[in-house]
Amino acid sequence: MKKDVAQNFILELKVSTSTAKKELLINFRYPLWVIFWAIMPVFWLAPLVFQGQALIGGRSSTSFAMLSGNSDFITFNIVGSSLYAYVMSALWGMGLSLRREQWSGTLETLMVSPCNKFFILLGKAVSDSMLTTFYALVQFILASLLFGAKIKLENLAYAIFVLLLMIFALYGVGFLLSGVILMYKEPGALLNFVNTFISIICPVNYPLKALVFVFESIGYYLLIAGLIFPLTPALEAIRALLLPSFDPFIGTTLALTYLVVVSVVLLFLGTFLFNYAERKARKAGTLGTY
Amino acid sequence: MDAVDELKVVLAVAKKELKLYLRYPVWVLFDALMPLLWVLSSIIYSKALVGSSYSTYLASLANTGDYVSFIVVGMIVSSFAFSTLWGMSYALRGEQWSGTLETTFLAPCSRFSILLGKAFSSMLTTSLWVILQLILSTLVFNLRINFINLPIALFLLLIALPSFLGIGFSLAGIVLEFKEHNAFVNFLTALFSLLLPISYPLVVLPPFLRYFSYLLPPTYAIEGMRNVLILDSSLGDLINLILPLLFFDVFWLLFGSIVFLMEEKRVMKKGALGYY
Repeated sequence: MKKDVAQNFILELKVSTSTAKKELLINFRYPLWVIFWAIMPVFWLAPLVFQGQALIGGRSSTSFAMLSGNSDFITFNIVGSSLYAYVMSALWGMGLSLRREQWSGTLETLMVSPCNKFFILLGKAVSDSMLTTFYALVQFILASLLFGAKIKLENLAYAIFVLLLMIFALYGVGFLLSGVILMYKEPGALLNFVNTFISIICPVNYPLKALVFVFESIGYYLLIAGLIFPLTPALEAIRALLLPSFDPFIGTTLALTYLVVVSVVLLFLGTFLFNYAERKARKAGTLGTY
Repeated sequence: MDAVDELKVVLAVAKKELKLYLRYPVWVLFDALMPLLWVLSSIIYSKALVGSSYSTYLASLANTGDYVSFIVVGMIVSSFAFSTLWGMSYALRGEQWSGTLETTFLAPCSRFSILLGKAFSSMLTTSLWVILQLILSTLVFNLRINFINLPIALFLLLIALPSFLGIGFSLAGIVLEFKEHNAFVNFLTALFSLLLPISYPLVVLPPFLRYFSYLLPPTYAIEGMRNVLILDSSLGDLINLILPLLFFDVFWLLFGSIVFLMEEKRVMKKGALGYY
């Protein structure tokens, strides 16, 4: 019995690896898109750097230092936008993965395959995080070369550990979205909105305390909403590890504990919602409807 | 068809596009909200950097330290430029997605009337969101612009629009030939966001990038609008911005029309109009 379970699990894992391989193959068949996604984030980052330089005349801001302990807004932004790539991937990659199968007309075939659909999603998530890691790395290196990043390299291994925790939590977000999109189909407007909203409430480009600084009492609610999303604790912990003199809003231990808990909760919720959406779509016969 | 008939085509296409647009209320809501969120994000970032609502360094570069007005005016003009980029590139691709491109091309009217109709509808909706942006920025962030000069600003925008349309025509032609427009227009949008003085004056850009900025008509429109709405300049003071805009109007309209006609001819000859 135990042997059967183990064998079954290995087979399911093969589904994940095949799916991941297929997704990577498809992606690399469009090299222009790969180059586009690797380079574009630098184009999005550059205006923020120039805007900062136009406002304060250098790379050191006393106001930034008051809000986060770190005055170097350029390194702050490079780290923030590199990590934000994973959120984009969870939303547009994992979230849209089944919708893309629908566009290609392969969703129904995929859904009748004799395997646990969770492992298909897992394969898609793994390929997405591999690609995103490549994009984030290119972005980080390019941005560091162009604008200069001052980080504590000795803490890089710890930062990668926090990053992995965040990726697991974002898998949960991706599964949740897959389920929602399976039910409600066209996600363009929703994803665009969520994407921008997350970039506002999470400390991607500015310190978390900036929300309170600008909006006062309303800012506290936005700050709390931002803290719930896994990107915020991950950014706080990674910046605390990599940026000299960064003073995180939440302690690193608390951030790590929260990330572990939220990863489990989101993965559980995501899987549950996805299974529910799949069952509902099958029952209603809407898997193939567009 | 005479000019009046062509004008009727422009209006009919604009009406059709607006009807289609309003059939997707979630997208309408999204289009209304997004520019506000972008302004919001940019202002939070600026305030976090400066620590107050006035930047002395920006004042030394752009004659105004009021970054809220500086950014909002930049974003308003760029909204029109981006709406033309996306609207015109999507114009024919959208017809292709709906399977109506060939039918549209068979209509006995100028293709430019169809393109203009689509451009006008997207500009009309952009104008609505810009007004909303102005009202909310005034209420929430105490936007301080010279509202009395709005007619001059509008006049300046009207001078700039033909060049935006010309860029749109060339883009429509390119999309006709190369089909998938998303990556290309995304790239152009990012490039424009970098090169245009939307949230910073051009002087902070490296000199080699600045040369490219001066080749883009929205640069002059943004600078002109700022002069009128923030620095209280008169139309006469803007002659050094209006002249290049008029030049770009002629250049881009001619260039855009030639590119579109050439691409159209090539696609028709290859019989690739219906290709996906």
